[in-house]
Amino acid sequence: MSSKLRHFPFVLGTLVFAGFLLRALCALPPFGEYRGAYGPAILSTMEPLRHAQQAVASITFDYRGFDTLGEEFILFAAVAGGLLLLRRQESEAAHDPVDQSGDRGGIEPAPAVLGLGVLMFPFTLLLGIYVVLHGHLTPGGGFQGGVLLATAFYYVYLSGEYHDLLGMSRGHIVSHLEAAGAAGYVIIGLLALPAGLHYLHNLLPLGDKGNLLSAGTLPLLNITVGTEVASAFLLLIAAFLRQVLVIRREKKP
Amino acid sequence: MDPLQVGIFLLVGASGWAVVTTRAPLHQSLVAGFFGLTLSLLFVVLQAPDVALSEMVVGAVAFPLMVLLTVAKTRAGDGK
Amino acid sequence: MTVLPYLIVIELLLVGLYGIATSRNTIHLVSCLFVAQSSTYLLLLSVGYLRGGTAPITDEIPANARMVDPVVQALTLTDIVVGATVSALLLAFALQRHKLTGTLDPRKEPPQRG
Repeated sequence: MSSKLRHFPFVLGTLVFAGFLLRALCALPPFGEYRGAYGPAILSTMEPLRHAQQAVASITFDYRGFDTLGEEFILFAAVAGGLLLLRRQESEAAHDPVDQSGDRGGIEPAPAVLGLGVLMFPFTLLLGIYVVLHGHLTPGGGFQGGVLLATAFYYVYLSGEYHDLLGMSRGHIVSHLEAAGAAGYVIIGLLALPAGLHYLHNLLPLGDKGNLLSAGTLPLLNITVGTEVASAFLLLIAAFLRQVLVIRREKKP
Repeated sequence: MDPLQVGIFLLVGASGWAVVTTRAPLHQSLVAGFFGLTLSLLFVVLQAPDVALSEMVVGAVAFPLMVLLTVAKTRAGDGK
Repeated sequence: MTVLPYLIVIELLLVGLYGIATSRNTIHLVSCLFVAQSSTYLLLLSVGYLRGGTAPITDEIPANARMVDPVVQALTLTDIVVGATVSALLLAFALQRHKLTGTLDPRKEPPQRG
């Protein structure tokens, strides 16, 4: 069957689907005239009940905390699956990285790239930590700060120290950190059970609104999620890098 | 809707189209990074700074980087 | 003019699906999935937008200020990060398939093994 002919049923189905979708979406309230009930309810109860000022973080880690637990484990499972697929196969061998263009000896980064990498690494690391810790006060939080923290380590790779990066992620420290992040969320949730409260109940002192130590368990949950996301992305991208740089197909004897 | 929102919505629609019609994966990873940036710009004008931050680090950095590394690996395997 | 966001949502979803259906490269296919997935973020945030609303952070804001809906933002936020790791899993599948069969073309049948 020619590919044109194969596309015909798809295009036909798509047009019918688009018609139904348009009808359904036009029945929603028009853009800019949101009329939901939950948003205003949370915005009005968040300050008196939780001393929190960042509605998105309080929903993610308090009002919808249990859903976030599920999402965290989707992330955990996806990363575990990715790492399982990207491990070294029996038919492959690990070699030292070689430059893809044959006319250079080793991989030497340009001085400008090296300088920029060394300069940007501490700043990005600091920004990542800041974004995780202030997740309940300003835009940011564990998910965004975690990815930022992981990208900070890619300046190490860019500045040519890929041995350090690959060695660091090959050891068990990063995977232990990832597991600790995932387990930390579960354990913080369990803390409320002996007191006879619901799972993930926000039982720590709430503090004053706007302080770094406020809103009860929100900052702690942000830190556990930040740890997990940062180590997950670090492991994942290091696994891809190892595929590109180190693992070669074994020559058939 | 103010004109800024209309303009950025149209930009997102156009760059999404561009990601799909760019068939070479290497070129596509760059276009996907640009698409991620326009999306995070749109989230800023829709008053969602949290989501914009998340989209910026994931859509414009982490995702194109992983695509780029996959392309590098599959090219390196060619002809060896 | 108020239907424009929904039109863009439909366009992104269908363009992404079209790319998936006609793709000849599994890496290209994952990027098309990324586009189709982005339409859901756009739909959620468009539904929760309030004209003239500010971001849902109540620091130094007058008590009667209109704010956009934080619930859909929280949904979108976790969706983005989880979606990225699922894309990484799919890319790992594409890579592994390339190693085993030497092709990235999703239309080719994988070799049968007894």
